[in-house]
Amino acid sequence: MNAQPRPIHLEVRNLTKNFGGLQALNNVSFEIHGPELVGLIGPNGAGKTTLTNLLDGALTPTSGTIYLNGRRIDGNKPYQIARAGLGRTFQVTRSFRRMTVMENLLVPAMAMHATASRKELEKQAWEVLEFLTFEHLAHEYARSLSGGQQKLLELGRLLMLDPDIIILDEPFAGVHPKLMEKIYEYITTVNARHKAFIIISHDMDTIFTLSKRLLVLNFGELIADGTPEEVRRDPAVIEAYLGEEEEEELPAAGNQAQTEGDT
Amino acid sequence: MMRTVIAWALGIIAVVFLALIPFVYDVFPSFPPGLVNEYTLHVLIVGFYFAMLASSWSLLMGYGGQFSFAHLAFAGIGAYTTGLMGRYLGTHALTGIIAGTLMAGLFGLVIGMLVLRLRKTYLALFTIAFAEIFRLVISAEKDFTEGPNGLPVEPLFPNGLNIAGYHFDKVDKLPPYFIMLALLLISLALMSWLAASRFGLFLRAIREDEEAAAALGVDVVRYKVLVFVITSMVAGLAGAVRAHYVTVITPNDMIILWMSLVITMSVLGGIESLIASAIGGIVVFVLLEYLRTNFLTTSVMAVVLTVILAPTLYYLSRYAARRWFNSPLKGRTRTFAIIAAAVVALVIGIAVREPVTTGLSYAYYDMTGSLFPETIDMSAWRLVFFGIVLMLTLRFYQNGLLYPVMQYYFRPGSLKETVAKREAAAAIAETEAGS
Repeated sequence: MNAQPRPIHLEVRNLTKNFGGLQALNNVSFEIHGPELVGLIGPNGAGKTTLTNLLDGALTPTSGTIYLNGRRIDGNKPYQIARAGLGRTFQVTRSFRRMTVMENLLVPAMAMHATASRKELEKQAWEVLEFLTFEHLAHEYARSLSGGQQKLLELGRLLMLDPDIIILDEPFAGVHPKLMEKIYEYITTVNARHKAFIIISHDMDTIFTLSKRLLVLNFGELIADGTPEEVRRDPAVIEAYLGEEEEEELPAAGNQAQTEGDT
Repeated sequence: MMRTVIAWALGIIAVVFLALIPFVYDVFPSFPPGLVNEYTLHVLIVGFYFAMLASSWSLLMGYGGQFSFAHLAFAGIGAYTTGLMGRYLGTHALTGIIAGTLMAGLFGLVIGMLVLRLRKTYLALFTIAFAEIFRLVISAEKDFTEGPNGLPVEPLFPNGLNIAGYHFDKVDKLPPYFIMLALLLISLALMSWLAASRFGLFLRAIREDEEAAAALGVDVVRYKVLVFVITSMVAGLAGAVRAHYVTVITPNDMIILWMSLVITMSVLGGIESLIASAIGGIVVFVLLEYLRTNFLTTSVMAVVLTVILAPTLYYLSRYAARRWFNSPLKGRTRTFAIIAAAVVALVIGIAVREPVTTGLSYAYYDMTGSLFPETIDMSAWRLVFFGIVLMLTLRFYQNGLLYPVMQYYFRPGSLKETVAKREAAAAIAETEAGS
């Protein structure tokens, strides 16, 4: 979608967030260079969503800094961060229910391009609709879409926002295997268009196969950062996951080719 | 395309009709007898004022999702600004109206910033508190504002107005009629343009989900404050001009009851359409005025009987269709059954109104020792009527009564959820999921 690739650089330095006495995130640092496909995993309450909310500006960090493409974004408003090139979805689907699919897509496009004409942006929206195979739904209210379609619509809105880094919060939670394949395909296709992804998921099989790099959070601390192979062998990760419920056990090295897991 | 042309044509006809009403009286003083007179013009002028309030409230609530009870207070701010300026500074009406509009906008800015973090219920409570405080301050500061006695305001044209050789007296209804109509049309055009632009799109996104809108790059704070400022200015303008028209303003113009009526106008017309709520404003206010007169008890009885009988007959016919013809009512048959039930109920209601009234009256006499009054004072009952209509609309037709009709005839394709389409979409989703 974008002609010349922009440089992508996200730099998180010593990020800490306290909620009263509770330390939700402690001294987290990592960097993303270029169109990486990063998985963010960790047991419940590890601070994954807190980290997302800090990156997207919904929360301000207690201490630490975030740089996006050389620009400091911590403390900025969510809309400024969105325009600076970081888009996200929410754990629960949040489409604009009493607006049509087309209008849903136009919101981020118009927010990004203050001067572009509506016609131009609608043309762009049709391309996205085609990509999602959604053309027949363009003028339906978002609320009349199925849950899976609304999830795809959210991904479509992100395409219209055209950010450098896309954060997906639980994209595979509670979706039909067929739709999961579609979302999987979306991620790889869009990633190939020079966009970095941070994907939060509890679906270990998928996330280990999909991502080239994994960040593991536990009790607010970044306990591992590396390729899936490295992470799988990491003693700290094994300990963190063995201490948790059994269903979140790491996949054995053998079945990583499988793309569909049962959540 | 054709439908757009028809919609525009209907709009222009409506405006021309409104513009010609005053002349029916002047050209044919006796035709139609008693229908168009000074009082009619007065009702319409105030109706235009309420149309401005209802349509700007629907921009605030229907588009922005900001449930405000302070809209009449903003109109009051406009009115009292120009009234007090005229009284203590001797300013011209036009200066006062402009100042009133700006003052309402300023208050809108402050209130808009104060309520940024408040959602739905809390916003409603906050704005009720603000509206009541403003009204009570005006009431309490009698020495300055005349309080409940009412603040006298100069008429729009204290020395009358000369146009093309005609002289209009300061109490003539014609100049304020056209001024109010023009302001209504201008504010409607302006707000419709805003609603159709990115401003309206962002407002609706904010109404649906603030966090999601912000995450997609919408400057939520800016648009929320902006919609408060703009709608407050429209309300302030309407209030200021009305103040110069009625020439006396009291804090009672701003009571919650009237605010509720503005909400009723907006909801009955259609909260998501500026034009529908403006029409709702005019229609509801005209009805309010004409229902004020005393009604014969027998006529009220006819209406009551019709309202009770029509649904009864419809449900009976539905039962009969299922029981004896083994087919549920649907489509055209259903429409026919509804219309037939209404007509039959009306005929029966009119036919039996007198014996039923007499019978009930005697029963009432046996219990209380007095007969029904011949006429019923509607001044309170009309409010009950609109209260019930509001409740029914909110329960059964959340899009309003007029807006769905407008959508059905003028906006095919978009914004339409037909059963067939939903089924098709579901089928496609299923094949996608299952293939």
